[in-house]
Amino acid sequence: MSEDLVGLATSVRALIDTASRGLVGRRSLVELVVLGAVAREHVLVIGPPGTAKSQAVRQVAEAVGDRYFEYLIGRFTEPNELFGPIDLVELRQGRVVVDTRDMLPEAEIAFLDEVFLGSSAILNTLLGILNERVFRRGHTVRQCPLRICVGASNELPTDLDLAAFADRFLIRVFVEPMPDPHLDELLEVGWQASRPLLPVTGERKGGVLEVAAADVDRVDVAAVRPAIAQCIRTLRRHDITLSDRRAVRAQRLVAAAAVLDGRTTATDADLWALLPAVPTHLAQQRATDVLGPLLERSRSGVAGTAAEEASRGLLATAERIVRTHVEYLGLPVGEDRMLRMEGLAREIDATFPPGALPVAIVAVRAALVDEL
Amino acid sequence: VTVLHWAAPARPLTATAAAGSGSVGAALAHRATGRVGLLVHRAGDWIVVVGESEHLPWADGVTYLGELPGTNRVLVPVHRVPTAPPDVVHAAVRRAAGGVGGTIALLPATASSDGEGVLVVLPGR
Repeated sequence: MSEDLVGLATSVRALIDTASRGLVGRRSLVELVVLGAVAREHVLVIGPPGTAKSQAVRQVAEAVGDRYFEYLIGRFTEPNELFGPIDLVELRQGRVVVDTRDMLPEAEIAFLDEVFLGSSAILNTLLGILNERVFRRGHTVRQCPLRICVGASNELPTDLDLAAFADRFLIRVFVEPMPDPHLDELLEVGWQASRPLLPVTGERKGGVLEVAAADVDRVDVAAVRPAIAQCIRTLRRHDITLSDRRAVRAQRLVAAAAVLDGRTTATDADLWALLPAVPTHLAQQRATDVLGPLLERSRSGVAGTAAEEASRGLLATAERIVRTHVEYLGLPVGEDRMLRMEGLAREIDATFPPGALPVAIVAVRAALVDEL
Repeated sequence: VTVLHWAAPARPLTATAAAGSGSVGAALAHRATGRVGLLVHRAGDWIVVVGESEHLPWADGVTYLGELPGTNRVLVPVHRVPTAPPDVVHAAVRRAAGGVGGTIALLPATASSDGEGVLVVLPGR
């Protein structure tokens, strides 16, 4: 190998190192995108949502310093959203000219999510860009600097026309959600990436929600991270899918739950906040059951009802019973108060096994026995 | 009925009856008197009050019962369930109760027992 090529390979390796930073388990995707960029061949990434596909491509573009264009295509995406608007001044002269500034025709690296959802107008125009690096629309014909286009989809198309379009992507990369052994690392790296680069310091300004939101970045979730990973593994074992992205972001919910309970360290009392991140109603109901033992210590001073509903945790229930008892003590003596107190006693005995009463409940129950 | 083992369920069952014997049963019956939607059953020394969860009476020492999942109207304590498969429990309880079709409560003979179960057949249900 010539010295030039050795130096080049070293530079590319450094570029891949830079682009892979903060990505867990996606180095091969970065490497294949770089391979495609060098070969000037496009890449199709097949995999479920939330698996850091776009992040990997974005980081390659940042590492290279290339102009980058990214878009999530939907069934109703119009061509001008990708290629640029029609120039109205030119249109008055009877010419259809597209203003391509900062749009796909001027990008060097492009990422098109759900690429097969594009309309035929979009896909036909894309064909020219992918095959010939030429953009043609109306009277506009221009060479494109496109180095590589990375398309992404949940699955390969079965439709023959789309399959022909998909064939333009020579490189196929199949990504999967992060395997269980890497979950802890994914959560840690994802959490660090989501926080401000500089430590949060100084005066806490703004309204109550603003201050609380800023406090989330100060929360230490390290101690509870293994429990979060355990919850996600448990969900997966029961076919309840939480994408990598949702798993990472759910940590912020746990951190926010800690803030709402007046703490800057997240504990297993905050795990109830994982439940709302489960994407469907049915899955949330099942998740409540399968995570039951892991969420038993859930509680929240501020969001107590949500904590209880999410986790059905006994401690959360205990806290609510204690609060309710204090409230009932303010009622005048009479039948209504007696019935309410009896209802509390019933809830205690129907909820907590004899001999396993939470400490906070022991005194409440003793007071109820005396009163009733 | 001989129940081989009792164990705590992962979560308490939903209470649909309150049971007690001796003074606890008497207190339950007393509290249930005049309340709408409750059925009071006596079987030997036992009192079992059946009704909606939020209407059940309370007495110190009460045992709340719920339907054992996987059975048809076999009630067991909400905090202690037989570890045998529900269909086995169901068949054994029905057989021991002489084939009656109504609701049957199956209670541990004592708080700590891990063998004997007391059957309370609730007539007419």
